[in-house]
Amino acid sequence: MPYSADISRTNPGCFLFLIDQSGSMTQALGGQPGMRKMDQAADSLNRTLNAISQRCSQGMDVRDYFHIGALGYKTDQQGGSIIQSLLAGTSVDQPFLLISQVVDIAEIEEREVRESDGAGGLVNVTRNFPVWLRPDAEYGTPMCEALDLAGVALRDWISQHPNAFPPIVINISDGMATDGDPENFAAEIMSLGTSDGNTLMFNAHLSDIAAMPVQFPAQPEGLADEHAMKLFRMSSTFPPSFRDLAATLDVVAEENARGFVFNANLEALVRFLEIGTRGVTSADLH
Amino acid sequence: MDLFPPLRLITPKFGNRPDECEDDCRVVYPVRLGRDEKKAARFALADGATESAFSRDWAQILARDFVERTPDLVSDEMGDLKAWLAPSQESWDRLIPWSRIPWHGEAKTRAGALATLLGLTIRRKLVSSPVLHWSALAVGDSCLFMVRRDELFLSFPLDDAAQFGNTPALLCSNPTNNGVFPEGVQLAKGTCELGDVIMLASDALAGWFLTQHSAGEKPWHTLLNLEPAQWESWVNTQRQAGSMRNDDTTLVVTRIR
Repeated sequence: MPYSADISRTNPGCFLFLIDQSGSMTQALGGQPGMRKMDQAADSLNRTLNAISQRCSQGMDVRDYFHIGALGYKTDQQGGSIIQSLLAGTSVDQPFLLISQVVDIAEIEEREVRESDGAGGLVNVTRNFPVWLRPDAEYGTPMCEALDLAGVALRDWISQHPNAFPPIVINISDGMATDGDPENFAAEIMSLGTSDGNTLMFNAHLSDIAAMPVQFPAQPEGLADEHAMKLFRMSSTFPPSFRDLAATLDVVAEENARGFVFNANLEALVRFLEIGTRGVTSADLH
Repeated sequence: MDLFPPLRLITPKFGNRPDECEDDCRVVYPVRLGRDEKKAARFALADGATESAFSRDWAQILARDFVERTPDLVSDEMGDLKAWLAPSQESWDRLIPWSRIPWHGEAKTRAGALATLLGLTIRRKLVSSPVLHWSALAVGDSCLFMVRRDELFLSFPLDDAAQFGNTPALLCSNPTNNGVFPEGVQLAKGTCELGDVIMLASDALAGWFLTQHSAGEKPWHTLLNLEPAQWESWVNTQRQAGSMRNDDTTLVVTRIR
């Protein structure tokens, strides 16, 4: 059965993030005054990497269940594409780090948050938040080229891990590619696979349209605009195991639900992967 | 009636070191079984959940505490079991280096460690009677099998391989996260007969056992014929053949004599 490979240190999985850093990402995020798309993109990456780190944590140390890569895409003023590997010590050709290395390069910020006091009230507490990416955005959107380079990195990873759980690509963008139609490039990525199934491509669409956030829809109808519909089509359908785990976590993901969110967080995705025995309480990570 | 000395076999998930094994089992048995707790044979198997923090420590505490200060399994008051759990939770809390937990482990450690627990006691009720009585407690998917006259007589708490999943009932080291009471706690009891085979198995082995049994096999024959020196390679062979999940694997086996 596809998408059932054991994820372990001997057979790790892989996440490759693609972050839109083009000029249009400086626009405000729809319905959320004071939040720009680029802020949300950085926040999404930081939250998702935090969630992966926490899932791999044993308390004091981190088990290397995943390899992680992150590519940012933008252009210079003349339209020359700039695709860069965003994790320290990596390159576009070699974008992957072990999750334990990713943990080591995080910058830690203390933030005050309100949490339940366990007796029905709320208290302010200081918590550590890891940061890997600061908001950055300028000029054009070479999404096609980013997807093309992602494909090269994924082929390389797959050749080294032919029986692994298939790679998961997460593209965070407002969907306005300036170098062509990214749909074919996404289809190419989704055609790459290990013996356990094809690469899963997921998209977080950040839009200036103030429409209701959407999480894991099964149909494109009702999505806010053509960019949302395009990114929906570029998103993989969830394997049944994802939907089963989503259900245990009270996340709605109906049949044919896709890994697509509109102006919403993607980090719930991290919880749809099986690593080993877990309790519902431990899955409720903040 | 008495017990053959129990045999304990344990091997970590393939690819993991022995000190990463999150299964823990403890056995205490007196030379001659008697009435009171001190003269009961006590077995405990706890399986720490991979995804929780410090779960190996929690499994060790639960298994140790079950055999060292065995809870009252006769009463089915769940409140008693909660009270029994409290000192174990305090033991876990004391060994956590709270001030040194890195950021990635903070939320998990605060949420608490999780583990299954299967506990079994075997004792006499009357000094003058040879009859042995067993009582068992189970939270989660570690299983107790009893084989009588070459048939599977008891499979507790699960009796079907399809019941094994990645979210079994678990005991939590954090008292505020113990939603497992009372539905997740199961109790069973009965009497033993001469020749009964008693096995405690953690989930991967228990799943293999029940799959074999539902296919008409008598998997206890395989396990009883295994030499301890063959155990690890036998488990790895099953894993490679895809008939057993790659997970920490524990078997405790004894027989009534």
